[in-house]
Amino acid sequence: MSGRSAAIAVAEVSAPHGVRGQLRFHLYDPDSRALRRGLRVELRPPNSPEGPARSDMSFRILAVEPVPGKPSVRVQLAGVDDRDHAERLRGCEVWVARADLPALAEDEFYLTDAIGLPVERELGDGRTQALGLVAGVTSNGVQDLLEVEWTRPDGRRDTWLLPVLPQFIADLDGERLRVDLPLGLLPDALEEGGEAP
Amino acid sequence: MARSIKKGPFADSHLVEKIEVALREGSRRVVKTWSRRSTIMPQFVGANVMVHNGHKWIPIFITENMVGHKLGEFAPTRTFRGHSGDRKATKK
Repeated sequence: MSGRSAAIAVAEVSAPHGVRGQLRFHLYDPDSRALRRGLRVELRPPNSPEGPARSDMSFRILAVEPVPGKPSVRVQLAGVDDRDHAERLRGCEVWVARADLPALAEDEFYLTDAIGLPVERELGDGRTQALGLVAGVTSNGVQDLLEVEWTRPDGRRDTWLLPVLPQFIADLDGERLRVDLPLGLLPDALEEGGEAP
Repeated sequence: MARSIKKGPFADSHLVEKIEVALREGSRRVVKTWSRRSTIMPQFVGANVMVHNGHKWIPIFITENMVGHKLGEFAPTRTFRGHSGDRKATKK
């Protein structure tokens, strides 16, 4: 079960830029507007578990400018004044407190909140069918897809892909993801009404 | 070399037929295809298609800005595990 984390990783430090401590951030979402002047961000080594913020890795953003043609931004952080310091931050993930992110519309959710949730749908006879667990996020190039892991009748783990489109996502309540799928999107064993343990 | 304009875009006839039937009937049924070479025609817009990438089926909901591209362009053959970051989605 995924609990809603207090912060979200929005980018990664891809490289230092110049000699005055500027950094290049590779945005996980190219359309992200999360990073802005004055915002406090926390840098964490990649794949580190979420924990209390380290004061020496928490920075305020002094300036942000987009890198033309790339899903990146150039950032000046308070306290990072030379290239050596910037070089030490290379590879770190950039985390932003959820409270500092732009407000979501009522029907919107962050994809990261879906990871780890069980997926289910309501069948015609009113029963609820378990369809697996959301294991990750991938893409077909233009649309985001959730990777749903399930166990096949022969015991092997497998995945199926769920397009993240409003017509397929019926509800997400923090406990489960309810879907409304067209015929043919699920693996045959699930389509026939089988459960995904 | 680019395909001659005289010939028009190519799409496998069996696929065109299936998608047209699915859209005409208004069914939400997904059309599965191996035809990665087929060009997305304007009449495909709104269809749910699953394209095989050699390993599994990749679902694609066809939109207007995909017209003119090949189906295979939207079914990557190499694994990509992205970061979700602060990417948002909308529910019903």
